[in-house]
Amino acid sequence: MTKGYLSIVLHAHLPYVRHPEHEEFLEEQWFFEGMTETYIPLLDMFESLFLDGVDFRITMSLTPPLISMMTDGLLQDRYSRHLGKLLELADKEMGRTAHDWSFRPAAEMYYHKLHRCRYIFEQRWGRNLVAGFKHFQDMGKVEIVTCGATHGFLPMLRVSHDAVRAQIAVACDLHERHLGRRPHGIWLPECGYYPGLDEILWNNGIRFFFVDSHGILHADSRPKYGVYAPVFCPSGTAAFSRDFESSKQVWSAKEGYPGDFRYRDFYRDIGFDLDFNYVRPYIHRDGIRIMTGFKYYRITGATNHKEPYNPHAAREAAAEHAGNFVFNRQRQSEYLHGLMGKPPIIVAPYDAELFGHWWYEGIDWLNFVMRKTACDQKDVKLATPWEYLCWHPKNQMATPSESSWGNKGYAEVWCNGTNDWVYRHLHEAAFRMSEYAKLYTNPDDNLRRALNQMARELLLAQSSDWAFIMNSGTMVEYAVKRTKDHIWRFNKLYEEIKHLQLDMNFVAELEWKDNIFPEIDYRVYA
Amino acid sequence: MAISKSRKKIVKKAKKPAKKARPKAPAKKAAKKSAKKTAKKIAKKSAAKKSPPKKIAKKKIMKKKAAGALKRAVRRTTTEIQPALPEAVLLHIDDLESMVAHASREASERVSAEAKKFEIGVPTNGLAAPQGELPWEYGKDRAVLLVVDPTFVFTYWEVTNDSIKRATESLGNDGKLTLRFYDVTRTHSIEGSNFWDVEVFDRLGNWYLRLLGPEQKICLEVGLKNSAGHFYALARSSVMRLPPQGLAKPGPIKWMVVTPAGDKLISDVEDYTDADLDLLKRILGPYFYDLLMRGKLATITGSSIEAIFYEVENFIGLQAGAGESPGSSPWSMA
Repeated sequence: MTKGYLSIVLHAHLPYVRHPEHEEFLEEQWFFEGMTETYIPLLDMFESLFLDGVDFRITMSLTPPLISMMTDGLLQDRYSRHLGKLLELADKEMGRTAHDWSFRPAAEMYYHKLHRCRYIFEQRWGRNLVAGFKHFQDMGKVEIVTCGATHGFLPMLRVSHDAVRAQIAVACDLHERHLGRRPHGIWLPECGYYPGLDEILWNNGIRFFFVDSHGILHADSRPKYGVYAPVFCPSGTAAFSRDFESSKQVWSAKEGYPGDFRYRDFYRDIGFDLDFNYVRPYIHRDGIRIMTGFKYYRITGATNHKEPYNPHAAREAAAEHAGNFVFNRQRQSEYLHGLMGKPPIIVAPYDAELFGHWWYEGIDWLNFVMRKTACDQKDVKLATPWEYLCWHPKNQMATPSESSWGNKGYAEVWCNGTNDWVYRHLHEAAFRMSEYAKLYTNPDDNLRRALNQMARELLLAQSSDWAFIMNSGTMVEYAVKRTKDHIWRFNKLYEEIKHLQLDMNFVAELEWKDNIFPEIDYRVYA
Repeated sequence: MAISKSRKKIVKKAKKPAKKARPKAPAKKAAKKSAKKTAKKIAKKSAAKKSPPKKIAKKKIMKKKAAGALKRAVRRTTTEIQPALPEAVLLHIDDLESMVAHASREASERVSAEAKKFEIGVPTNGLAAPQGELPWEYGKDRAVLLVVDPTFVFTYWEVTNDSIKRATESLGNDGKLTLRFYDVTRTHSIEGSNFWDVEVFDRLGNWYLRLLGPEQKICLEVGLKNSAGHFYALARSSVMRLPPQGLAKPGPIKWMVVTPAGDKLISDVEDYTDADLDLLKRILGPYFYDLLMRGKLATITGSSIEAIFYEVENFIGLQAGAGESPGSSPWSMA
């Protein structure tokens, strides 16, 4: 008998970074690392679960910038080239560690994983990973939800209703174009919700979203079942809440899954550790050492002395931790079912990139969780939020409180002394966009192209990643430059249109550089 | 140029293969120097900022700056607002100090897990300078309020010289630029509502304001105020409601059916009883229930991923492996 539902949600997102004007660009590495360490291994995992007959369910957001990068020819070519270099390095590493039995198992692991990676990327999905995710969506195994068009933090953009509406509408259109259907759900950027946003979601056909725990617990009506049942907003859109217990279970220091001594150390990388001439071809072309992904040490302990990584022991640890996680969900479901008189839904959301990229064995852990939940017990059933709503269409009505899943639960991460300067410009640009969208209802082809490009520049500037990076202190200059560049380009187009001096060469250059949302219609701001 | 310095150091260090090259370590000295300089520079600046902070090398500087900016904003708010504050928004120095201390601690402790996906081992060069600088002003009268958290708001404004001239013609030459904050929680409009004024010097600027309680509805006007107390408004923000910080007051529970096809129906309504509160307490367990009732839940759950990652990083070396369920789990005590 099912005593509870477990809904694991992965939020897969990276900011749109694509620089055709440069042969090689350091920040494109984010996408390459995500591909090799997270997205491709996830697809591989889905395939293996399917082939083994495991009836798994997982919910995943694929944000519009990520979908756009995954389907972009230039980035596909560059990733293929990047993967080729990694394979070359893997070959060299096999030679270097041929007689070193401490490091040999890890070298072999990288060699085989990278070859598998190339097969999945090049042959299995013809370089288009979105097609792979769609495949599992169409099978009913993976529920793919959308996100804001460029991951704009909506509570900070609400000064312009049109700006928020456009973030949602553009995202849904792109999602439908690539995944063949409108999304049932959305992962609000940074889980940022404010009352009233649900109406915009409902009007775009979105039926559910997620909030952090306090979003539901601080709702305008006391939630009868706490965070273990969704609530319907007055608009009809359902809000699911993050379960803090399963979050803690995975990440808590007391549980310590990613901190286990057997897991791979994140920082020790041959890009820094080995002889410069040896790694020279695989680091940045300017000779800047970067991470290559080849890491040979395990966490070991709170010491600078690190022991060699043992892939088999690490996999064993992932299986142990998955068992522990499922066991705790069983107990949690039993307990809650006894109180509620109906199965709770336990929503466990995580950043997808933390699996594989940060917590290297995280994908293995997920794989084991899926298998153990689907096959080894009957108390907990894997379910997506949409399935839950179909099975349980009656829920409490309440409006969640304004909230986010950022540090301290609100907007401080995206609005503080490091990044608050952006909002004056973002808001003004949104007002200007609405002004032109209402003014130019029947433009000629050149004007239409310029207005569409203005919409792209505005959306790219609104990405919450820039404010997040400015706040975190890593790669700040890039985030500042991206924000300034997009706003500057937007304003230049605005002035050119205003003064009837449209430079179509400039428009064409921007269309080439900032090519996200090729089908965008600026009238979404009208 | 703190960043290029730190890059050089990293490259230099990286050439020593025997040493473990952690990408973050080398820039500390440069960061400290740069932090001092930055602090001095900022101290001279007015509340209005026209450009973002530049040349910041490392996290620590950003954190110091963030905490510093917050501290400064709060201090300004304290010193300049306090005389005009109505009772509802009185600020207490102790609260402020503890808040600043808390913010500094949080900032210094924060290690973002999500930021790790942006780590590729070295600071970015950011390539060339931006294509162009952002406009200093937009030539419009504008006042905007943004919610930062249940007791904290950010505001920015801009008024044009022409508008100031217009206001001066109406009020006389003794008009001073003023922010007028209205508490419209009960009145729903600025008519008849409590307000308090903050004199400012810049026609473009921004401000952080701490309020006493959550769920207040506030609105901002920027304008000129003369010595007789007459106020000439030039721009008004929309009304913002601060989010609640705890459990809602007891009220009826409404149930709604939404079919997969999208049909909606409010099916039934029931009273909220003590049994419902007891159920919630048992669902959450005493630990989380207590946090909820004390209005402290968001600071735990909202920050969990980042804060817990910090815990994990610090925890490495102390303990490993799957342990027992934390004592806060209700089912572990069932």
